Amino acid sequence: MGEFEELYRKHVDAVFRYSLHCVGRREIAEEITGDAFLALYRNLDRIGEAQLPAWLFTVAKNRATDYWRHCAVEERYAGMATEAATPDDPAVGSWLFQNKALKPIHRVCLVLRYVYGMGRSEIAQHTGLSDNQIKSCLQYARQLLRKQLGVGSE
Amino acid sequence: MEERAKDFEPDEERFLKEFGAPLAAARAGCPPPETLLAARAGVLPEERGAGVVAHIASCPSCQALSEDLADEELSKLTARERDRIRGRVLAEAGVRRAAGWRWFWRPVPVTAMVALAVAAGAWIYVSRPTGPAGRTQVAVARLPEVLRLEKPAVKLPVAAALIWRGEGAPAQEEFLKGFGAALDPYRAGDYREAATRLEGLARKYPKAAETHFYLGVSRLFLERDEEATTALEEAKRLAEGALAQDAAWYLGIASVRAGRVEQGTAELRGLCARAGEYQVRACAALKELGR
Repeated sequence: MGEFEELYRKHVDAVFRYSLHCVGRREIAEEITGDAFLALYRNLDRIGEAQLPAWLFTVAKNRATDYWRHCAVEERYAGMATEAATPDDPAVGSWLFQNKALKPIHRVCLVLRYVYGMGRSEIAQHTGLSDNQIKSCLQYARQLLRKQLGVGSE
Repeated sequence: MEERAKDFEPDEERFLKEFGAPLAAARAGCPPPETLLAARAGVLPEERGAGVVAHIASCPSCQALSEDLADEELSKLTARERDRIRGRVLAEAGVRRAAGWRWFWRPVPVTAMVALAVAAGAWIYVSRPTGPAGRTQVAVARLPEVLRLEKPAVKLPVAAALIWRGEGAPAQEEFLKGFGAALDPYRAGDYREAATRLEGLARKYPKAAETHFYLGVSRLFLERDEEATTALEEAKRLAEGALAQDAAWYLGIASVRAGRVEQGTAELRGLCARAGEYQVRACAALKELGR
């Protein structure tokens, strides 16, 4: 049991990060990470430490592949365009994706909120940020966009 | 913009009037964020993955967003999540451990009494005439330790990855409701009630692999091994991916317990030959079975 705890402490962050990069949703990444460690627990006497964390990544990847195979999201976006659409307003598009003052955390919040229309709790599921952090990121991004594109409503 | 959130504040409403349309246009035709990540990780099904990868290659905004989403700051595991994962793993693994330890720590006189009872039971089985009814018991007595029955976790909430075929959304909703209700007794260990509910559900929705799978497992816990075999065969036939492997593993156990050792070993050979969660255990079980 002590050995498992040690392995869990050592590898859980990396396995979660990998799972999150496979599925993009924290609650699902959490479940997949749990599945991987449960499988490890059950095979503890047969898996050498040298096989870790690669063995855990393989379990996580298999679970993620299975998830995507059956995911409803996949159906929603069936037949989507494979070529990028041209933005109506290139200024906003290029500002959004080339602006150095906008950090990844701000851009992700901005896109999830104002492009995908997500609620703040849903953004939290994607990003792991608190409600206050999300509010603050959104406020900063809005102010920056208004200031730099010359529209001032605030 | 897609379906809008309901918690926009006044300033956000103003912002959307000013920039909502151009922002949405900047992402028009683009895959959703989680799909971008999955394409980067190479876990999308091939037929979809190729399209998304091609899209990302031609779309600067998707390239930027997928890099943002993979940013380390947004991928950190929180202490709460770490504790929750650990708690779930230990809770699901703990059932087996508790059962094992309970026997280990029994006082010697109790152990001796149990040993005597087991010996008497074994003598009764050996003394019974052979035949279809006795076959199961002989098989159970020889069941390899590695094939010991463990309760599989309910996978549905993991990924909302219910395998569903050929029905519309309302039927799916209805099915999910019934499936959830059937799994409540399963989770609580009331396999008799779980089996009854799952049998009804399997008749109504014969294409849902999960129903057959949990029905098969419930029957295994009820020691209805022959019936478990039937349900698990159906689950294996319908399932794909990890669930197909789960079904094959439990079908292997059910078959060996039901005395169909050849069928059981065939399932185990399939699992042993393929990389996956059950590979090591399946190979070990074959060894113990002398196959």
